[in-house]
Amino acid sequence: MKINERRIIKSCQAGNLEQFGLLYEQYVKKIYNFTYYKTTSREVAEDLTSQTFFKALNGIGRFDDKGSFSAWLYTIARNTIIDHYRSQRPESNIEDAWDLYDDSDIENEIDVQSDLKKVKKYMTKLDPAQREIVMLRVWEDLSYKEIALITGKSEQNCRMIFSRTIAKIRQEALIALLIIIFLS
Amino acid sequence: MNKEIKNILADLYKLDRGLSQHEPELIKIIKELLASRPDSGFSQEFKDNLKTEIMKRAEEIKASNPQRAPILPLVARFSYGLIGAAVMLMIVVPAIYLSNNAPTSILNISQSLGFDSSPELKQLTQNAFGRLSGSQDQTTATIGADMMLARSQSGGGMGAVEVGFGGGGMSTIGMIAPDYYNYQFSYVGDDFTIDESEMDVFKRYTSDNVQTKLAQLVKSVNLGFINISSLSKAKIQNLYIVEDKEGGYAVALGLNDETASININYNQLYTVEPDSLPPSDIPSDEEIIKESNGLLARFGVNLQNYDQPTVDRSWKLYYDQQGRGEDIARYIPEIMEVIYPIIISGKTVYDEGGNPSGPRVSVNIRSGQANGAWGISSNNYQSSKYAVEQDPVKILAVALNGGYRRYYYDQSGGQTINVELGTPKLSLTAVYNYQGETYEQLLVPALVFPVVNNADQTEFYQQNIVVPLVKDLLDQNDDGVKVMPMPAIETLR
Repeated sequence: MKINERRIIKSCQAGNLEQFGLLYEQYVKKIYNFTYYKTTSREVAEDLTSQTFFKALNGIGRFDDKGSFSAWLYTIARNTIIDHYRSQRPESNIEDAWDLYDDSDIENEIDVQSDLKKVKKYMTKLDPAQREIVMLRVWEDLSYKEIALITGKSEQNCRMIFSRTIAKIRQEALIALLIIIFLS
Repeated sequence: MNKEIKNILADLYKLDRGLSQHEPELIKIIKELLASRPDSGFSQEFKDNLKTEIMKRAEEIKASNPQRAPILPLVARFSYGLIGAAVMLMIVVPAIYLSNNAPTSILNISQSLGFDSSPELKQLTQNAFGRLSGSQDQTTATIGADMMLARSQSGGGMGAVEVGFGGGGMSTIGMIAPDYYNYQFSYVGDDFTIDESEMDVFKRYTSDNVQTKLAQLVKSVNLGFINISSLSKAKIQNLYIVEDKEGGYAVALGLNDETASININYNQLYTVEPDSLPPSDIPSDEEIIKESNGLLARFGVNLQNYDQPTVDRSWKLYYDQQGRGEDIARYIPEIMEVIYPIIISGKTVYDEGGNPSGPRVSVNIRSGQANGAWGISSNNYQSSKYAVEQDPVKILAVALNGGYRRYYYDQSGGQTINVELGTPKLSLTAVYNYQGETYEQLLVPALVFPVVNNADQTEFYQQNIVVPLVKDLLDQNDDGVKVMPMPAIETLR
């Protein structure tokens, strides 16, 4: 944690909540992006990002300032997303939009600027834990230490999952090539 | 190659150098992953609007509740008496040492304070604890009947079929009927003999020496707001001492019965609870025990009084059971417990349910920190010889009936589970000897039969069947089950 960030948090915890705006400025885009990657809907991402920051504002007094504020905030966002899916489809075990059965849910929402085929090529083949670590490591450029804190896994385990994910993608790409060769 | 890709590759190679052979492929994959990052459409308008709302809310919170009360759930768990004692000690002890009035007497007292750390064993005469059967049977049966009556009354019309499965307070509407099992015990171990006709029964004893001397120490100080010097025959029964720092510990001492518990002193709570840990993140038993031993070592608990510690994996039973049914989230507890079975004269102590008995230490596997210990006590015992049963046939008959305290009933139509018992080990088991309105715990010699055919405990929950060897106890058990009283059930029909 940066020194000034720690000072800002201490100040918020002392009752100077106007300082929370500085934390908001620093993290709002990251949290929004993370939420968007898991929901693929701008509207939902905006709603869940709002919820995340209100929860953080209400709970900052209980934040242990020896911990990582970034990880704490991502954890709130992550839990908010899970709650969102549970409330939408309580009978299903959905952790993010990539688990949705109907692809149209994704296609309708994803911006035309993104290459949907590329996104789907990887994301729908991975399990939720793998997807999350890819998102956080590659798209959000977070360290494994931060990813470990957010996901509740050990740092080593996160490294391992990421490594296996890449290996899986590589292997499946080769299998796809073989299938093409045999079928051609 | 940009820095981002280089960093990711470096991370991958740290785990597996062999991956570098496929570097061109890996670079392609990472580039594609990076390129596939969707455009989130984050807008300045959204950012500004949300900030306005958040700052408005911040102002409201500040205006309505500028001060936040500290959260001290641990302290709240203790009685005001304990807190009072802690406050008093925090005031008194520094005051004593800073005082020039009576330093010599205080030093004399403090030098003579303290328990002897080495365990003592005092041999008493034969049958010194009285007849062990005494009124225990009748009293236990009465208590059991009351409990059963209370359960059934609160359960809202529980029929006979639920008897023995608990469930007090639950509504019968929507209840899932439990599976009924009948247990058929068989012995598959080696022949065994009991060579001695008498064996030691143990009883822990305590002294009021420290309680009295500490009270003298406290009484000698004028607290200002109250004068306690007039108390006669004063004893300090409880103490609660905290390390006033983040991550410090709090120790609760029961000086009257020489017991102690330790808890981490949470000054601040980290309230966000991420999802359950995955099984792969559970540390090994060795790691958990190492942390647990560290806590006990820090507080000078002598591990030589205990058998090899083991990690309680009973949670795994429920975890596995959860996985059998529908696709529901399974929960791995973040707190693991380490058990330190008590050893007296080389014999391990078990409870009547066949579980090792002794202090437990809890370890938070997410933080890797030992966060509490309880059941710690002094280890001074009196012993007295009692006649024991030497006939293996009689002993086996009790074991094959499910043990001394049999909690299982045969139900018609239930599935029969075969439970195989292996060669027993001579151990000790805790029994309660009732004397009128009071009772005392005694540790009596017992044979502990391991259950050998149910490693995953899926259908039979006990790891061992315990048979106490003292004749007094076995003789009163001759006519069958007494703990879970049938007469009480009959009255409800």
